[in-house]
Amino acid sequence: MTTYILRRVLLMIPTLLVVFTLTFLIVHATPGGPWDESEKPLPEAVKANLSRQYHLDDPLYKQYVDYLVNALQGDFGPSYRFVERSVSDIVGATFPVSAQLGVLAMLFALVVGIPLGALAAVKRNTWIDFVASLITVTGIASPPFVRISLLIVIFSLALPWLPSGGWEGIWDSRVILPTIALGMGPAALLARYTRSSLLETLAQDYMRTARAKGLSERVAVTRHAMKNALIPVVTVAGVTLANVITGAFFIERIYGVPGIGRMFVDSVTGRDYPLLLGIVLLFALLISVTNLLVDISYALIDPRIRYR
Amino acid sequence: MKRVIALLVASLVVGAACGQTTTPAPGGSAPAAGKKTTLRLPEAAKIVNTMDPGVSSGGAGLEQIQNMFEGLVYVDQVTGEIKPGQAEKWSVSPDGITYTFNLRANLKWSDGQPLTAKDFEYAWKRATDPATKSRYAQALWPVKGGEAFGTGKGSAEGMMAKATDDRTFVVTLERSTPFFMHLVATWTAYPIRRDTIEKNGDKWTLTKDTYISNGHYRLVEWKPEQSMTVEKNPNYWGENNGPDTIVWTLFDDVATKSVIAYEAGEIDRAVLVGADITRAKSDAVLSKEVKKFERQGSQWIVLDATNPPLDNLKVRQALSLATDGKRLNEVVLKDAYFNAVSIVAPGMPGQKKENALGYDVAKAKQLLSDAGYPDGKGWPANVKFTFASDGAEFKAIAEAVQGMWKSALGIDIVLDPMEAKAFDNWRTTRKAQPFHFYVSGWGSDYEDPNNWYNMLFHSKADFYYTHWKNTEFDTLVDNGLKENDQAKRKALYESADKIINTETPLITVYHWARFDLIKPYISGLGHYRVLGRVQGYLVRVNK
Repeated sequence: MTTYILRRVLLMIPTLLVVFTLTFLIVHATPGGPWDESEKPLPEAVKANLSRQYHLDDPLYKQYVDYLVNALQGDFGPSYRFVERSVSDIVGATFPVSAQLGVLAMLFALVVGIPLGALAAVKRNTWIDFVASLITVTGIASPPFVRISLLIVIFSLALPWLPSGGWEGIWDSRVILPTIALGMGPAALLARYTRSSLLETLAQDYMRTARAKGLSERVAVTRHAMKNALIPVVTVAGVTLANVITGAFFIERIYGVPGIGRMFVDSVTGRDYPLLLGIVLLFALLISVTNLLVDISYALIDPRIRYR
Repeated sequence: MKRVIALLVASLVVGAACGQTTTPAPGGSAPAAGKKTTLRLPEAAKIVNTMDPGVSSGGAGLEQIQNMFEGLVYVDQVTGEIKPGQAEKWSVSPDGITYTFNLRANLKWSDGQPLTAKDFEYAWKRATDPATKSRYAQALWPVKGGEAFGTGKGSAEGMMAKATDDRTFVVTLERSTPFFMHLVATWTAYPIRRDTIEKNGDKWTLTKDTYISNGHYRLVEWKPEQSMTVEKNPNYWGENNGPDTIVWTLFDDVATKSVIAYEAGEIDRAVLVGADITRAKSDAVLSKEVKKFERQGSQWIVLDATNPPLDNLKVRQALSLATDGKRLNEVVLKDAYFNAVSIVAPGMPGQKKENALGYDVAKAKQLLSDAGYPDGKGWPANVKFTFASDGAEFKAIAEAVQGMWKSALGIDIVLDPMEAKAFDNWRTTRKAQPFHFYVSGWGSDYEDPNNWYNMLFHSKADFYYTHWKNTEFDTLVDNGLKENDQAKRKALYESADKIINTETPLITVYHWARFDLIKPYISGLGHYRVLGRVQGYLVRVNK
């Protein structure tokens, strides 16, 4: 098991290098520069000076090597657009926000999705199952930006109960709408997985045995069936967590949450190369680590799996 | 000018009316003592990307910078005149080369430390230093030795902006520059505190303890991508009867999100664009809160005057005459702007609406026929109309113009949308490469004809790469730049204005405007036509 983990960790290095190289080449092959020209163009002399000061007129291989050498020392460089903040400052400020929102959304997904799926499986083909299906299909089919917009219209304008945007930490009412909007997708996904997995488990021989020895249906389901049915759900939940943290950019933009997804999109449209590379590397690392943790969790939950 | 006065009168009437319907604040002045007032404004999140006056391009965080800093002089929002700020007076040598500024006595920074002429010398040299990476450094290039320093050929010592004592700041120019006082009023020329920058580097703008300023307000908190809060600066030399606190909420998509926050009662002003303008105008409540402000700017179709068929003057004139600016603004863009008048925006000295070609389809047809394309016959294929496709507006303009030219002149053009940054890149390379049409615009940085005729249209500058060159025009604006007699100067630019409108290297689509929703308890919230930022000290919150 230890050698397996060690090998997987070492394999992350070439993965990250490939991700970095591809991203670097793609951003430099994309036309356009990072300087602010939103309202009217910048004078040539100013643009030339900026490119010189930020070493953008160095040869490409030199920019590549310089960035890589600095990144290895933990210096991801200055952001081109945010003069006073380095890439590390921006990531350091925005990533925890996305992480908190992501974890909350995931908790919402677990608390809502698993019971909903379990209920639908147990009450299969009743009206409860159909209502649950309706909810989950809606959750899966509606994109996050539609969900958050609808929630704002309902809860901030029609019923003015909650603020229409912003972020004041997880103990403020501003956290509610983005958490629900972000968590609904994974909740629906988990409900679908739980339902099908539980249906499969309920048909197993040991469930008939459990019922035959006189256990009540409730105890049989919660003690015996759920435990086994949740194995695939846990693995899905792990991968989903990484998605939720890195993929909240629509909700962050629309609700004004100062998270990393929003910076990611801005860095692409604004051609902020250092910020973009920094965030891509962080996302790649995050996804690699989550995948490793999920693989390890297989072995821990399911005794049939052993790694060498 | 008439329009500006009308606008001001209108806003005063509205302001007074607001005063009556809400708390009876005497004469719309400061509310009763003891009651703290807050003005809540929206701002584009990515606009606030630097709060360093010496670095800012003037798009970035300018409203916040202008509320927290003050230069030697400032531009009066109402009259457009240059007024004394940190300098109580100044004098100019008869040859227009040497400017001597006398600072007010006992000026202080927001932390109570004394502010001296040395702070101006430091700020001007720092902004000019290429290592500062200023987005607006060229503002101080007219100073003797400024351009050399700014382009890496000179030194800070060689730049002739010197504090001769604590209250005297002497500037020597390379040559007489009649509009220099407008440059002195820009953010690039604001004073900066040396010790905080040397101690904190680029990060000096981030916290209230390090962002030391000298204007009407000072920083309380800046939460990047979220909000910025400022409070009255107790160490400002003058009066400030504006709100005690101003809070800007930062939105990614300020046009759509600010309207929602406004309707939810979270902010006092919203920015209106597109369909929201139509909706607000027909809404019983909102229609009373809609305000339209003029901004001194023009949006154009830029033409390559050397690329066939546009190298033919008659073709350019025909296209201009067949472009219905009234329809473009009022119908296509739902009256979000002001109808096209002429190439240079109204109000700028030199601009005369009589110089414009106007809209005349019959004349356009005749000219196109004279040029060898009767009813569009023989018009070349693949004449491209390029635009940045990130907003719906440019696409609407392109499609409308395509339709107008087709129906009026029988010619076909090809629409060529590009992603915003790709468009910037493409535009930059037009310097040496041909094109047909693209959409771009300009707004005054300062209200002097130099900012348009010389900087944009002189063949040496050719800011929009129209490749248009007219020796007479160049001579007129060169002379205008040197002329110290304001009446003679205006006449020179008026002649130049006639030439450029006749030669039509650009076709005006509309003049800039801004639509806002403003809560009825707010008065004095105008929108200055140059740069158009809110000055908090002029606003009253009657709540």
